[in-house]
Amino acid sequence: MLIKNKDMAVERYEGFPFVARFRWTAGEIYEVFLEKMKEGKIFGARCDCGYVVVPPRIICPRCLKKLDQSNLVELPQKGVVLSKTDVKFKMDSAGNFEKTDEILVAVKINGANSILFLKALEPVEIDDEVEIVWKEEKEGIPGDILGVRGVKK
Amino acid sequence: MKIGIVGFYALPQTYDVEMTREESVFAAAKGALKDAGLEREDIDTVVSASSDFYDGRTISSSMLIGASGAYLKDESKAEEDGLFAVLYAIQRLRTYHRTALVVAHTHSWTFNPHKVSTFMLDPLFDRQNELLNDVTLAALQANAYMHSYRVSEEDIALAALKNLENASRNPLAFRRIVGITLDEILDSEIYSTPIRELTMAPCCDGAAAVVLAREDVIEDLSLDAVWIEGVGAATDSYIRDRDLLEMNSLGIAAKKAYEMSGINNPLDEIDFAEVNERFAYQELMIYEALKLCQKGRGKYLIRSGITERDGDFPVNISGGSMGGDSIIANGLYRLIEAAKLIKRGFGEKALVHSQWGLLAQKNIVFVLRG
Repeated sequence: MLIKNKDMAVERYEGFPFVARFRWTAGEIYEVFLEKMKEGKIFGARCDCGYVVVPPRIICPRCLKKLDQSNLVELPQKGVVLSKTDVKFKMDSAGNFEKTDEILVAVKINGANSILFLKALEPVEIDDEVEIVWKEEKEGIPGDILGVRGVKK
Repeated sequence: MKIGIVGFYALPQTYDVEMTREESVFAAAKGALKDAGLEREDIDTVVSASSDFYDGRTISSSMLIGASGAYLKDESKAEEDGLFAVLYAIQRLRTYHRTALVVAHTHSWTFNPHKVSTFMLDPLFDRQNELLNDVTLAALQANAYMHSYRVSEEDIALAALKNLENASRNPLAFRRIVGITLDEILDSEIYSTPIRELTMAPCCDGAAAVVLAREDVIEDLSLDAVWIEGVGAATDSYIRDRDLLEMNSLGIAAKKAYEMSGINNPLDEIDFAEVNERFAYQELMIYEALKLCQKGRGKYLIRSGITERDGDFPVNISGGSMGGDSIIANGLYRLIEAAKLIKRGFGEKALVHSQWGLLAQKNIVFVLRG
């Protein structure tokens, strides 16, 4: 499963004027994570030490081993709430606090070791099981995930 | 080779729209030199701590060379907390230089420093979440901690109350509320449950400086010194790959500092501490990581009053960060407050702590002796 975006190739610059192309690579396996989000899938990287990092990164946070595309694994869409907070203020792009009333949760996706910080779309409590809610039209960006909601028992 | 603090000076923490960064750095550096009884010519190396992000310009020390007295001298800059600059200065002194001036500053009034915390987030995922910042992350950690160890909001408010009461007596503190009550804290505005206005540190302006010297210089010039007996620093992973209930890097930093200063039981062997608790709940977690008590038992230290100013192990007699968070300068304020108390004979040994990053990713601990 090798996904390589050819548009990401960067020309070498010679002399002036320097042209900023605003291209940035997310990295070999983070790129796959973003691509797979278009399909509504969550991928993590499983290290040989057993640690599952999500979003996948090229160095295992626990044992520091180099990870690559062969370490990628699809993760379930469900997880457990480790913590939650009722957010009463958020910041606009200039840093002004503005009132809000939303819920932020720390979620451990089943089978993963990393924590994801996501919005909760409905009231949830610590230890609740939750599932990821996706946007209809996905673009391969973090915003494709709208948040989490409780799993009906 | 021992290193001592021979001079220090800190400006009152404030919001001063009239004072430039250069002016406050100049005042702090000049004050510390005067306190040490030294001249600019006596200083071999200058280490400044400031942040490009907070100052809004790259190479934030470039405009401070005149103010810090570094002109045509050996000079370097440490990002992040001023205590890390002190650690760097110690390394400089142990390798070559004889005296060092460390100066740190932050001016918060021009912008909201909490916004800068969002630039510490992973740009590809977490930074796209508009709700995520240092305050909401602290709220998540606080709730996880309170849930796991049955800590009440009142326990957290008691930690804030202790520090705010102490801050009200500190002329350098930014937030001084005389006669502050527990109810006022518990009724203060909620930013993100359970973090309230009075259980989080108020960002403010500040500048502070210390002069360090090698033991031989201190003896030659007959300087008055507070000795640095031990230092430890450690850094943890990014927030996604950390246990929200642990301050592992602080535990490691403290262990190193204790080993270096020959401390086995910090609660018995150290007289008092100055810690950087950006949020009141962190003070409880800091107690545990510093091994002042077992995991989850920080609330009992607060409830029993052991860490009050007249308790057996006073923590934050200055008011700590609840009295004002001049961000980069915060660690130097903690160091200076502790050195001041040692010089006044309040205690013989002190612990100084500061932190940096989201959910205290980096921690640094000093052990001082009179």
